[in-house]
Amino acid sequence: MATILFFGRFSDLSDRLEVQLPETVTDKQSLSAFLSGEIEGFAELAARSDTRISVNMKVTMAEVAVRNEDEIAYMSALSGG
Amino acid sequence: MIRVCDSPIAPEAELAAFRAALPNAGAIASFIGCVRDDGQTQALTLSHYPGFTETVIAGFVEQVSERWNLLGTLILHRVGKMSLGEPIVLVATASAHRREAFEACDYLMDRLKCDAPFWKQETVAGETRWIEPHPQDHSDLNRWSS
Repeated sequence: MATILFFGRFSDLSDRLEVQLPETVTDKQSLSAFLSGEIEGFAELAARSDTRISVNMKVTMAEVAVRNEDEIAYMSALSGG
Repeated sequence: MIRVCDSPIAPEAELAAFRAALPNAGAIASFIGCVRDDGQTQALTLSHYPGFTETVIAGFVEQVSERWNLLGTLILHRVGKMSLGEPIVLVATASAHRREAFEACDYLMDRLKCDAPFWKQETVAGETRWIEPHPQDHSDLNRWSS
């Protein structure tokens, strides 16, 4: 099971998910496509340039693989201070 | 020291303890960010990604320590619901001389504004809405790239 976390505006769309990833999900891009089909409004938010995705608490601009044991977090624009 | 907390920050006591622990510091700069009363906002609610947020901030401290010669760094950040006037963040830096402490404190606040995993909602007229960084926040951060 993969754990999907949603922060900021993403938290308006879904609570934390524990999901068995389908075989079609192998990386961040395919995970986002999968979630876009499952969660209304997700695709628009995921497409924003200020959206960040972490896999096991690491954010990279590059594509990375995702697996069922991973924790993936979707984050809308950050705003501290 | 880095601390993300859901209880109120007492900046004066925190700064006194920070200063007491650094008797050799010739300069201590600090910044306190508070919930601003703009006549509309009733409350501010911040959330974070436990574990990840602290790790990201620790990275800022590493970077600031490479760039400036610091004797100590303090970052306290609130999460949860805050009322008008309540402190949201306290940043303090200590160095031998003032310029390094000023600049490092300024840099850390710019990083916290744009790059720290916090999310902010304000309550206005009973409704909540997300707050995102302003273009000025990014301009401020970009000053350090040159």
